Amino acid sequence: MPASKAAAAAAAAALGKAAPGKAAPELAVEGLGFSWGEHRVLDGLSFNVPKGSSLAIVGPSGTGKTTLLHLIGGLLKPAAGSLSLDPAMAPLALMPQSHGLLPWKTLAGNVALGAGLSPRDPGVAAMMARLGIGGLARRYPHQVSGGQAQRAALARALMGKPQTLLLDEATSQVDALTRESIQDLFHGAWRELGMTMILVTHSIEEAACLGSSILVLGYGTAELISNPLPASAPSTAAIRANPAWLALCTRLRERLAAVRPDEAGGKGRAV
Amino acid sequence: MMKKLVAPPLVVGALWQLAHVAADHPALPSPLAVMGRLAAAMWADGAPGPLFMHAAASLWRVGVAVVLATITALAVGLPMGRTRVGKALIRPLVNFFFPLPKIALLPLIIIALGLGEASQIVLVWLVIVFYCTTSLADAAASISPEYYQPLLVQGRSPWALLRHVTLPAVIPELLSAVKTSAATALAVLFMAENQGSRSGLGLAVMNAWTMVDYPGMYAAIVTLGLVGALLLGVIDLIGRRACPWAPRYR
Repeated sequence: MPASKAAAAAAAAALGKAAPGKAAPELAVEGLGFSWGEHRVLDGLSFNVPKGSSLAIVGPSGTGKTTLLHLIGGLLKPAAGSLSLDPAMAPLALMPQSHGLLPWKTLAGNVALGAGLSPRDPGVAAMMARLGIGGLARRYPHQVSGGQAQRAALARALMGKPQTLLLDEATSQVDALTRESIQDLFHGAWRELGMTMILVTHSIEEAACLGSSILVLGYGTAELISNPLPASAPSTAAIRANPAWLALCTRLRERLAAVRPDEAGGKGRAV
Repeated sequence: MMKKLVAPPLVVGALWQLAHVAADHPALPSPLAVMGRLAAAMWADGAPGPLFMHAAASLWRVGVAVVLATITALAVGLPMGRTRVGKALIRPLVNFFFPLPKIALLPLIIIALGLGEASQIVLVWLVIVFYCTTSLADAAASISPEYYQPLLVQGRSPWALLRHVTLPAVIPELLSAVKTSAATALAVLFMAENQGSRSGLGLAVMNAWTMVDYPGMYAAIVTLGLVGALLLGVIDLIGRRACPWAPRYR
């Protein structure tokens, strides 16, 4: 299915809930295109992300997931189409793929950097305590576990009081058990803080746990699937216990299996 | 700690003594005679001796040249590694001048700056600055984009990126380049101090040699080594204090 049609339908659904007269704040993506040199990764992509919702972006490698996230974060400029973020959804924060903590700063120094504060600011200690890394202020990133580094990276991102949090495969570097606790952390922060969350993931389970809508990127195709589970459940454990979660995972797995490089061809892109 | 400081000189001294006995030639005096001479020339009658003054002069020249090269490397190497203009314009220039034999420029430098401190410092600076700049540019170019991305998404200033990411990221590589450069600088200074200098260890070695004062010559050479070891040790110490996070100092 062409990206634009699916997304337009989803956008209409999303807007339908908004108060009539005044449009609700949203991230609006219209006919977005991007190429790395000759290689076209995104083409005619359209979708909307209402403020306060969460969008999980899944898809095989090379479909432009991270590129899309970087476009949203303003790290890249669109080659075609437009991408407009309602001012009410700023500021943004990004947690890059391998946590992106600065090796030359202590955890407190890294967390403080998120808000341009001193590492000794009480706000830094409070945020670290809240994310369960209160005792690690003076450690360097190489002196803590992967899960602790992820928590510090989230603390740094939250220090800037973001209205939109961008996560790039934020749980891909940690072991399975840690992953679930980090996912729970994201879920809790999203529900508590009322911010918009946009995450790129390789994991179908994670997308079904955290995305109130899920964008399945193919090679030049896209499909938006809505998911009521994250907003209604108190924890990711509760989501996983829901049979609807398993059904959604199965559905996503089928969708992803259907995405094959040789199906590309729309709008003359080469793979 | 003491073992580390004492053992190497003892081993070298023992081998030296063996060579001295085997060679039985005035050009290879005994290590004790050289050490005695070194001590006397360093400190005599409650005041610094001539060797001390020579060592201080050499250390000063190398120190100034290294500091100047570090500043130049930061000013030129960072844009050369991280900006499009730097990559296009500065790198080819640096690549052109890097391999030229700087010692061949000594006559030119002496004509321009005369005999003395300035021309010696400039020569040493010229020898090490291209190496420092290239190392720093390469280090700056290989900083992971992931370190910048969270700050860029927040819309932080270029100054914040420089202060929190670029500068701290290149310090270990800079110190490593400075260390290699300091050793090279001492060796180059030895040549420079032979050309119309009134002080310095290079002069001390050559003077002692021309006067067939072998213990004095070795005393000056050993002092040159000690000055080098001191300089490199200090740079390592700075590295350990400034970059406790860097793999090489952990």
